[in-house]
Amino acid sequence: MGVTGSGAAAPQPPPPRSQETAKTLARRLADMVVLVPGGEFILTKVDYVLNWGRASSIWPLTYGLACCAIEMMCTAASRWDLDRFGVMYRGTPRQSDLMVVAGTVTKKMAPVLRQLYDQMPEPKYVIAMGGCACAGGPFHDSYFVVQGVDQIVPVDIYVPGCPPRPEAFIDGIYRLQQKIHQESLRGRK
Amino acid sequence: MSIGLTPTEHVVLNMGPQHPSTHGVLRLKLTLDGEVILGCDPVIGYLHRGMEKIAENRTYAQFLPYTDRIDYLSSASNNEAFVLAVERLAGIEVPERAQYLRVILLELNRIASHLVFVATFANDLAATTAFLYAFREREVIMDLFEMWTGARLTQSWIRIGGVGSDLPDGFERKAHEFCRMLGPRLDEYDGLLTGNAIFRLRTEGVGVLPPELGIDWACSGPTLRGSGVAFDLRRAEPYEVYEKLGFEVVTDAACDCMGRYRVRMEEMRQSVRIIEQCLDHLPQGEVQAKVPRALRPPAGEAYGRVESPRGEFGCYIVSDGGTSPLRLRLRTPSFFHMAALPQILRGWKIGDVIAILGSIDIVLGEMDR
Amino acid sequence: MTPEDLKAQFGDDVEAAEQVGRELRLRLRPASLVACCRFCKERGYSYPADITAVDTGAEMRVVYRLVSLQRGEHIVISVGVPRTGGSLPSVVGVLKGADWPEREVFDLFGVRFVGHPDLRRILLTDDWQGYPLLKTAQPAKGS
Repeated sequence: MGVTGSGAAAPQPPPPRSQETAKTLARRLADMVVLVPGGEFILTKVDYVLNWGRASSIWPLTYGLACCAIEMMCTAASRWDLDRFGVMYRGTPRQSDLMVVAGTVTKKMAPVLRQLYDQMPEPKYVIAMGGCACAGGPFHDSYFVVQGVDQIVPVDIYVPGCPPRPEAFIDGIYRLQQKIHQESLRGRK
Repeated sequence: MSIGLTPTEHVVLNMGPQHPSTHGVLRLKLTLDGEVILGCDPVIGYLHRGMEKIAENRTYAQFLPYTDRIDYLSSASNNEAFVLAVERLAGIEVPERAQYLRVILLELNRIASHLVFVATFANDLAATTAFLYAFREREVIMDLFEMWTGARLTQSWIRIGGVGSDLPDGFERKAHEFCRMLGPRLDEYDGLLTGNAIFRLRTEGVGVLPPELGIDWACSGPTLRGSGVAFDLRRAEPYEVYEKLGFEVVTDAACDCMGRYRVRMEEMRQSVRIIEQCLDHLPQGEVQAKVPRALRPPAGEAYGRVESPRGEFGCYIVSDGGTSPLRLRLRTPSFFHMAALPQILRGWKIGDVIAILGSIDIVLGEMDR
Repeated sequence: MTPEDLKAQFGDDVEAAEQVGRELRLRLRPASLVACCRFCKERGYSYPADITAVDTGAEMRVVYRLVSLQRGEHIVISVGVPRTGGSLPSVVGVLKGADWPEREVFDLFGVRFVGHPDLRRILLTDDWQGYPLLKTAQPAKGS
């Protein structure tokens, strides 16, 4: 069963022109479209199409750390086939939009994890799979374990379990899809 | 006009710690001359969770679930090494029925682990179909585990003094069905992989581990048996009821990746033999000995070793008479195999790294603990 | 191999030796460590199953486990070292498989191995301060 997390940071005011990105340009355009009569309708249709595209083809990064990675592999394999949800694992962060942190994050791995997250292009999502990624798991008093991956990257969905069953992981993906459907060009809720 | 050789440099290529084929968070710093590997410096510790220190702050019963997470592909072997050491320290006798049940669980774990080996090894060599096939068989084993223990992957069912519970109704029938089904499926994999020209090109003659090197570097399990050394702890230092069971120690004289692969394939068939014998000769009786709730083994030390699917998995416990171990050391096969890896890799090409690493079948959870 | 063989070979350096089941457990002085490993290896105990350390609070000892694959017997050598700043001669020259276990003992306990070809941390980060498995190092309560 998944729990929805905070995701991206709170909506920021528009940046100065010198720091415009495609995302902020899109938001400024969306803000202008809304002012036109019928603009809201167009925007919701565009949002719907974009969200449908993003939610139906979530491409995760192959990033299994520990035991949860095996359940993640099971979920992607024959019986629980993740491919039918459009989920296709990519080996490089440059081509993926989801990072499933499956397993324990150690202090040695933490900078690598942050670097991989930074290398992923927007829009990107993070699922914390398993007790260790959610909050340190059974290793709460270890000298080398980070107590939850949300200390390093913002997490969208938490899937508890040790390890979570494949059905629970699929539920996490499903909730992520619901979350994506709520997004808008005017900024994430 | 003479054309001299272009001056070249050695390149250090970083592989990992995020890499689809390193079977976890492993980093290899490869020194290359073109594509040929001159040297390899493995950097490990990316999954070091401090298990040994944690053990000093848990009671023996509390630490048992942690042992599952060490070599998470065959949790029962880790449980077994731990409880063997504790039972030796505390002088606990395990009932015979429990010993047979433990062997059934251990061998099912062995098959499950070897299936993941076949799946990931083939997947790394781009034979993705085998991944889906092997996981299909593994799901049947997961069903058996779930039926008996409630958990798929980390069962924690081999406990101090016995096993968690007796077999549920219908388990023996389902287990026999599975044993009958697995043989023909393994023949399917043989058809897909063992005779496949590309698979053979990539694995035959690749990653030769001479037996003397294997022994010098304390390799064990299929990695060493694939080099012809008939060392299997189930025969060398029998535990539970392995002495009473008939099975072969599988070796292969090839010393290469294909040899190690063939050893694991045949071991799965031998495990089926063992499970069927256990199911047929299961005695009546208790499944759990009387163990005090706050177990205080007398001061001393003990070393429990088991033949895990990867090799010799040992648990060395030093007790000072308290409820927690004074020192708990986990001797894991993957750590020693990774130490030997730089010796094996020298002279091969980058593409062979994947095949060699896959054939050694490491698990990072047990390498780093 | 019996305890008497080792006492005969190494005299007073063998502080204690007893046979417990499959294991021949002995307590050795550091001076004879490398020679004892060579002695055992030549007599078939060539499989360096494990090297680790035990910190009991009162003292620290480094434990070497040599196995004879043919006979299925173990020799367990314990060598006492000071709890901080201790050092031992490295046995890598005799047992190649001692390379990584010695690095791990250095990493987690701080015991230095003189003559080791590449003594550096193996599991923890390179800039880690301290040696976590010492009894004085307390577990970090969820940092």
